[in-house]
Amino acid sequence: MTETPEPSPTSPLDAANLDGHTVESLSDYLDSGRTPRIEAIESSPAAQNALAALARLRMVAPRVIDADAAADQFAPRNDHWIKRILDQIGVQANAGRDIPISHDVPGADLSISEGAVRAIVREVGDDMEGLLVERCRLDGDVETPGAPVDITVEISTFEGIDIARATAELRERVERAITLHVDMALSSVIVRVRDTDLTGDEARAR
Amino acid sequence: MVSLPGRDSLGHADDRTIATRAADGDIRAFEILMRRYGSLMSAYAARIVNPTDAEDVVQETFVTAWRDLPNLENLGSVRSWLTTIVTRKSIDLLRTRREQQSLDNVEVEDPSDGPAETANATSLDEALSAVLSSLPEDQRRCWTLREVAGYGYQQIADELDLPVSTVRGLLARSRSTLVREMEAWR
Repeated sequence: MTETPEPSPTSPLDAANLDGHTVESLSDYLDSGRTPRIEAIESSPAAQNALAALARLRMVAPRVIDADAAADQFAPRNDHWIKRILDQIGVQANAGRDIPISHDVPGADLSISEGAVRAIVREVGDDMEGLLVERCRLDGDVETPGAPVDITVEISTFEGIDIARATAELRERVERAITLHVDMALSSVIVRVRDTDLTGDEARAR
Repeated sequence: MVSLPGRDSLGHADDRTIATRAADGDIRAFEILMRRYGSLMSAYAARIVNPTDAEDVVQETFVTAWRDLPNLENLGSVRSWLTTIVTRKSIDLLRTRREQQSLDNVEVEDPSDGPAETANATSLDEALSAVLSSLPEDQRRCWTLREVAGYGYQQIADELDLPVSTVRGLLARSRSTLVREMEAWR
């Protein structure tokens, strides 16, 4: 069991220890970057002591919230909150433009949204190893049937993957999937690699 | 060298990648962001509003984040971007509460939660967290906005509808209490 320290009977911010200054004025001085220089504060050991304590407190401040988060101090007890948010944002998904689909049904007006096409491209990437589709853009007059459309896919890869082979395979798979699901005159699929090791520091630290 | 399957590796990807996918409309990536930062957002909100209102604030934060993510320029900074939203949403909730209270003509009490339970703290961070919880609500709120969110005195005064002199006083009191605890750990 760790011995927990007792709060000290005196503090550098006690009025008796401030050499006539106040916590307010010392905080202001600290906030101003200690300029312009105030001789009465700089030459007072007690005021210096108090300033140092205020500066230390400022340094640890963000850590307190991080510690609360790490301990799940205020976190919801279950996952319901996530479901509630997902339910709410599901209806607000940014679907983008409508891409008409040719069909033989008279009078029917069928289309697929740009967002759905992006989801198809993501799915294709997710079925492959070692890469992630980050972003997907459709360039061209997608709303006009038969107009040529370019698809640009931005991906990141995990370390150690054969990037040339992976991008070629992704391009081929995207072409196949788009031809299968969307009636679109695909003129090209461009694959751009943004990052060749997407396991960043934040994710590694977890 | 491990080659991870794409589908399962999303949870291991860095913030920028996850945020980019979410900005592109991938709800699954957004869910990962929520799981990654839900606790942090709750911790922020709980220090500005109160723990019981924190969940509502966090919900509004993520709903707004989902809507605005496509406009975020630096997707790698999604964490700090989320904290600015949660701070904003917390302040908005306080304002709504204030308006309700003035309509209902209710006297607002601001009791302290009593002495801090720091006896079981095993680190300085934990001890300060306990002391922060024991502060009167207005002190805790001002301190969090100043020291964690980085707001200036005038900005805090405007947002909380308080005179700047009051904000200065609340900050001085909160700092005195927190420094006393911090010094005990030196």
